[in-house]
Amino acid sequence: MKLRKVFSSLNWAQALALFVLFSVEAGPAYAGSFESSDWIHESTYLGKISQKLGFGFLNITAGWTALFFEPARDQNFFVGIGKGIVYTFTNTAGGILHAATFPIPFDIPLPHGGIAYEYKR
Amino acid sequence: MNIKDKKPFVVLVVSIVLFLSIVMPAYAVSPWMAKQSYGGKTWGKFCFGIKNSLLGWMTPWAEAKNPRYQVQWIGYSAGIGEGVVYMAGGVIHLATFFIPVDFPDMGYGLPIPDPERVKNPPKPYAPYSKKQKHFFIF
Repeated sequence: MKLRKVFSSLNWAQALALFVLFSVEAGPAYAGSFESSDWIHESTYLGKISQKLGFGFLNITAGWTALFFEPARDQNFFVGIGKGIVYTFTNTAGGILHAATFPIPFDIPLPHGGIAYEYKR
Repeated sequence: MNIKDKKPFVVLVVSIVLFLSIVMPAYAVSPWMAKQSYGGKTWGKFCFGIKNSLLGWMTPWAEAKNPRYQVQWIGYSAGIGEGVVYMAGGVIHLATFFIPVDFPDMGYGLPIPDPERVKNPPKPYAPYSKKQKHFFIF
């Protein structure tokens, strides 16, 4: 009941719209950190939406691993922890957004293109 | 049922068709499109629909082994999305098998058997590839 109230409230919808707008607008402005997702390279509509759903699932289930990957990178340990916390949140939230909007093939850029970045070492 | 009751449904269907026709510029041909006859195409589409609607859930395990992905979990996650799409697409193919139009464009669909192996089948096991020696000369 409580969850239903949260989902139906206007404030939640406004926050979601603002986040999506921010992500879409911030992508080109911070091209160095917010990169386009891998699934946009698919050629067909079904290829895009299936990969987008999979990308969302990947970031929901594995987004938290940034918390451990980032401190292990070649950087200051505490900076790594801070980045890990931020990326954990952005990857998981981004994954939820990707999965929720998978039938519409527009990209929501995530920092470094999502959690797949952590594996490309 | 009044025609006015059906209006939202008709508008929804027309909107979806228009939307899909705009966002689907690229086209991946399903394997059954290679058949020439009407019977061959409809049978191929029927089998394609059966395969994808019933076995689409196996896609994550098939994709996990795809060398395209660096880590198995990335392939497995991609397979989750593909599996959902393949199962839904398979049902559409099955329901419209008598119309030989490739819609939706699922390409190869469920990657079982492995499309790369279908294209380039592995060489037969060495002992069997050797010429059989005749036991008798005659």
